[in-house]
Amino acid sequence: MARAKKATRPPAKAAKRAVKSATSKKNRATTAGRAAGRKPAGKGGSPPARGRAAAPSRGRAAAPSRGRAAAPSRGRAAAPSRGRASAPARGRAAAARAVDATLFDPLTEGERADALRILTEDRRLATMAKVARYRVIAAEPIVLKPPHPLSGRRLARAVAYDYSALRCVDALVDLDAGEVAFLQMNQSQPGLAREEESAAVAIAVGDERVKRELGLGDEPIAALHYWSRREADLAYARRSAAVLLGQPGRRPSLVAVVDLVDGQVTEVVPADQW
Amino acid sequence: MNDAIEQADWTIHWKVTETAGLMIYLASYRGRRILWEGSLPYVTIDHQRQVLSVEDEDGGQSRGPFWAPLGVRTLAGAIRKSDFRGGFELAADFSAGPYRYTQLWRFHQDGRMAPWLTIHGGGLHDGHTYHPHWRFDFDLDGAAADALEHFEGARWTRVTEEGWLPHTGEADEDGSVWRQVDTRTGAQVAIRPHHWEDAELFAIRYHEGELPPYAPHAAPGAQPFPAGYIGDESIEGQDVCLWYVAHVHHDDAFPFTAGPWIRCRV
Repeated sequence: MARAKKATRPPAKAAKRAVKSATSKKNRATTAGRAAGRKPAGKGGSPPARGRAAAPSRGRAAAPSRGRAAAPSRGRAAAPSRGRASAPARGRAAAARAVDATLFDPLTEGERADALRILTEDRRLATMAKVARYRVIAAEPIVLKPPHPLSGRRLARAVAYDYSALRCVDALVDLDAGEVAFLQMNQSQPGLAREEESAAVAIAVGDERVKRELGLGDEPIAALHYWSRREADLAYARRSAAVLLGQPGRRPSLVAVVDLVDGQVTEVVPADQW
Repeated sequence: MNDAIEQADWTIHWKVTETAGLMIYLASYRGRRILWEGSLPYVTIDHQRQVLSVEDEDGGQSRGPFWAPLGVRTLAGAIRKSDFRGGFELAADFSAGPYRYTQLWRFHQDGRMAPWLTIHGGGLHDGHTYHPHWRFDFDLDGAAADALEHFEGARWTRVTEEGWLPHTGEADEDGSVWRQVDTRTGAQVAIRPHHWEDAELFAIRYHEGELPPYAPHAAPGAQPFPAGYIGDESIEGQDVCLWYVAHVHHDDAFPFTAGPWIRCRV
């Protein structure tokens, strides 16, 4: 367990280390970033790729996002001054404290249905609704902070994956007004819907290569969202799942990568070689 | 599945989200707002191949991560509230195939808060790493007028721009490495990382109406979040959103409890 504490190092070095040594524990920790060459705050490193879209201007649908979504501030007036410089700040603080906690409550069945109905009736999503090859990933309440004009309103965040256009649909539905307040379509990959997990499992267990590799008593254990870091792989850009198969209660013995767009198994790998 | 708790000088609200675990929202300590929202948007899992060839320039990690959202669908059993001497805690178990987690939120009367995740091991083989990502939107006495400080060079240093703030091993006398301060009232939260999880913090300016992510990255080939969010915007005096990312390798004995200590001073 004992190990030396890491020393400060520039990200470029961290990236080199990540490639150089596959056995260093530190370098196996790659995700969020140190291998990505990111800029330590205030240290003047090379700027990372920007992943954030500017907040859309009033009422417009957002441009395709590079990552960050923000509901538009429609028609917001500047906070009125009350004669002292700190008043607006104090007002914001007071407003924030006065938030109605029930706005965070889970959506009722009716609210969820309402949110999805409003979403699919939005004319910007007519193609998605007509082709009907989409999966709803989530529909849950969201509360915007004051002083945003939509704060204090009952809002739902609805996220779907549209297979007809291979895009993620991310919407903010104003349930009080019965309208889509904000809509963003992008190339992100949200987690799998329950239906996608079921589809991935069905595709995997029906595949001849998978059948050949399965042992007695092996069965699907889980279907997890997966993306590859290799550009040559279908799973690099296409919606994919990793179906883990094996005996219940034991480590999986096989991984089948399923391309959910075309409904096919693209890779079968013994689990210990993954 | 949500509720409010007033106990041990804390007032908190909690709910189980669809994809971001057990969320705490509108949390106050001694009547002062501390947290707008705290959640666990995702835990990604990387596997490292056990046998490498000389061609493996990627260090055996090119396959990419798995992840399954922690939320209503992966919740295993009921949310448990327990009282302990000097505080209370909430616990939720999540299960996705061979991956099992217990998410904890602990609240101490002395102002400490512990958003933790116990990882129970499992996986395809021993060579895998868990990357839990916590998102904290602290609103100390309101959303605005935040300042962030990082302990480095044996002192607290003001962070003026968005960025990546890794734990380099330096910490102040109580182990804190980062702290967010409300510049008007002096209220602060100090964050002490776990010693063994290679923690890193990402500071991002909160934009009005901003929505938290539903996916770990914006597009194929894009940097994962929260790194993908970081630009060069000023965070001085702004509303700041913090992401705490831990890296837990399965070589460590499991179960392993990841996550920071957070100490509130109001």
